Amino acid sequence: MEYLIHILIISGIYIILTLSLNLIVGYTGLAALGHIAFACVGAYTSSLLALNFGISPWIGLISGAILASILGAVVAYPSLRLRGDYLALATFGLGVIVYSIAKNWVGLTRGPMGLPGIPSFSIFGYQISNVWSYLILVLVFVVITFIAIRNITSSPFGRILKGIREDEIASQAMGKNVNHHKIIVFVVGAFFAGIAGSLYAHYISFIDPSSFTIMESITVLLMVVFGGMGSLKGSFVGASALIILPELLRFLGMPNSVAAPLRQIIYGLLLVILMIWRPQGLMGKYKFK
Amino acid sequence: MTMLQVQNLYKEFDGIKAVDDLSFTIEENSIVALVGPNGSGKTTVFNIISGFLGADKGIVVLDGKDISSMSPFKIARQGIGRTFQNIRLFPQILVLDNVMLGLKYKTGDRFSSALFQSKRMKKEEVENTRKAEDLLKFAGLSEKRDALAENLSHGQRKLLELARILALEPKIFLLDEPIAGLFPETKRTMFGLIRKLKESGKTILFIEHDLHSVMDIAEKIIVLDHGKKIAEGAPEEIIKNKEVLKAYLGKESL
Amino acid sequence: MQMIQQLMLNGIIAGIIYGLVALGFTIIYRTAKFFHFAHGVVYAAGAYLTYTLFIFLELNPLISFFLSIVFAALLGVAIDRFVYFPLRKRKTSNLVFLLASFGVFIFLQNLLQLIFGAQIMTLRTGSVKEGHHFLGAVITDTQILIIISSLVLFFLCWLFIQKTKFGKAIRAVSDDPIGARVVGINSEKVIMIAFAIGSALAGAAGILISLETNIEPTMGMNAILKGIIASIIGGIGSIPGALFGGLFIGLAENLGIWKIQAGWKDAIAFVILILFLLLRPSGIMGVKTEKEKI
Repeated sequence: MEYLIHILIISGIYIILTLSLNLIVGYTGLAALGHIAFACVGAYTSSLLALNFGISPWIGLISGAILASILGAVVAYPSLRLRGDYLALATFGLGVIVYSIAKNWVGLTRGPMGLPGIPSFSIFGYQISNVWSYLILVLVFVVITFIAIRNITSSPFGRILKGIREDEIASQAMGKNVNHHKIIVFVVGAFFAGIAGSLYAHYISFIDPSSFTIMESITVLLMVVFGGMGSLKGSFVGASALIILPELLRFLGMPNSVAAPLRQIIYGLLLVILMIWRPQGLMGKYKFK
Repeated sequence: MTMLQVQNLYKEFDGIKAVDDLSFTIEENSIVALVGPNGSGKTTVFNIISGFLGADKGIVVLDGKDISSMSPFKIARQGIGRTFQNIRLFPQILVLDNVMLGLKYKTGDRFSSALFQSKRMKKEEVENTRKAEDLLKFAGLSEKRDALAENLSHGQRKLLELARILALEPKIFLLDEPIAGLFPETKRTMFGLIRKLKESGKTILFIEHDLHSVMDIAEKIIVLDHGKKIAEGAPEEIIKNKEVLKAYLGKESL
Repeated sequence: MQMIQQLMLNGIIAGIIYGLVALGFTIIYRTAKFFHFAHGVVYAAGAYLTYTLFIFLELNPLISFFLSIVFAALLGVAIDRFVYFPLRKRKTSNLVFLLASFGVFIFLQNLLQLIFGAQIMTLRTGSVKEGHHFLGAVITDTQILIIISSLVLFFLCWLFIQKTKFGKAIRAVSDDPIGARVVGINSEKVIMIAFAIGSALAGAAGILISLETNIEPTMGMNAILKGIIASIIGGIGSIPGALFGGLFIGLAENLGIWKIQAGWKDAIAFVILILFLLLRPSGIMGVKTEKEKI
């Protein structure tokens, strides 16, 4: 039973990641491939502040999210100049660079050894240490993220984002400041991804660079595409499905040396199938063109 | 009163002069046609005026203001509403939303308004929805309100493009081949709408490669060939102009 | 003092392999007009098949190499037929092709891992021979073989593209796809040839590098990333550019770690890539990339 709650917590964290990436990729049409880098910044900021300075995880969470959104503004810059596939490469590269920093700047992050013993949250002196209470915490943030992104996307501002996705040049001809909007979506998307990273760190209580590889970024992108670009409900479905599915594999009794590559094989196959036959994913209205 | 002034525009691509020392003025509340064979530089001129392309030399002045080095979205806000030769709509978005995207908001389209769902935003949204519906009615597209723009016919798309820039309330309309590919009936509808725009005080500059079709509607015709202006004047003068005939030799008979 | 020559040699060897990968990649890009990321796993597959034939089944080395290269070519063509061809019919954007290619890459790389396990394997047999001293560095026979084979492959490729009928067709489709069709060139056939040649080169590169370093399931990732970076630096679509870009990255990586830790190799390569993408996307020798028509 506890294991089931654990799966729900992980799903919740990935839902936040998927919603935040959907804003960038699904609604605004920007090919952002290094999203997990923002979670990485959030996670490490939060953990290091707690471990080195005894700072409360709540403050760590916000600080991590803010630092992540600053990185988001940096990542936004290539999106002002590069088209689809070139932007994908550039954001992919930025993801690798952040991962490299986490892995090689041993003085700051302890590199591959990771950061153990990350404390959990506490409210009014009560430590959030069992899975049930952590689930509630994650759910609260899922709801906050959902409401924020829903508000943003179902508004005139959100309409402009969709316009940018459909045709940047026409958007400019309509008097829209496309650059301004791109920077905002990256900053907001990164902010929530940073929150997801912190939630992960304080839950698992141990982080190392291997949780933030480029494959993880592609997994989140797959969740967005599978669930449906431009569909918030789809993000819930896509993220949950791709977390729960591999767990089912484990229930079939496969050893990890088989389950791990098999999971990726399914992901790869799914990505190809989606691109060829159903680019709008399960619930999306927008087709990747 | 001069609405748009273009002076000594010059643009070169890979050694070819796309626009060569071009100057003209467009008076307020006039209908002017920019005409010339394919490849004469007409769309390039539009791209320069609307800021999507930078000229090598020359200036563009809109209603007394030099807009030569402004970015395209700023120029649009200054009052230039342009359509595109290949029609640039927002395909996977509703027809109504396509028009809504042209309308101005005071604060309703800001990020903060969106995040906090401000009352102001909701009020402006209601007002703008009504304005957009009126514009669709003007263009004759009311019943397509909830269709996806990509599902419209060619003629309907052209009309939607017009409705969309109407939403901008521009000082001058720059229409790139507004009747290209249209059936005669839709051509008449489009020209009818353009005349209505003139009647309500608007200024229109449009591109057309077929000289014959603009005879009835244009008050002034500017003829380009290989980037240079070879004639400018009222339709009756232009037909008789020898240079114009030479440029069109082998193409349309007049 | 000797350190720098050795690092340069390492850089040249790595660079020439990256260059081969970039070469195949860029030929495919010229005709198919998108980033065939899965190129990297074809590289790995070539190495793995050679291992299976040569070490496991103990076939003659030359036969093993030859069969592996043919297999790599067929694999590349199969990927094109099954994945990219349906997309081409639909006129999708480059981005969709790239994502589909990611999917193929992830699928095949993990398939290799499933079959062969994550263990490290090698093509090296026999004892380690003493190398030759040359300009302050030590170079082994294997390394000489790698360099010479690669240069031969580069030259053969250049001859093919410049002098043969097929090569002309590839250049035609690359420069002017519509014009090429007008004069009767079957662009689908040309794309297939490009995939065959490009993938064969990838397979060859995978085999050559495995003479020197270990075979592991993730070898394709590093190779394709460096190959893409090399292509873009050298100029996407340019054959001499592929060699130049490969050497540039190989040397930058290896000389870079003289001052900076080895783990930063990837980050260095990507910083260079991003700088090029932002400042000079057409690379050093490449054709200007098409800008969107307004």
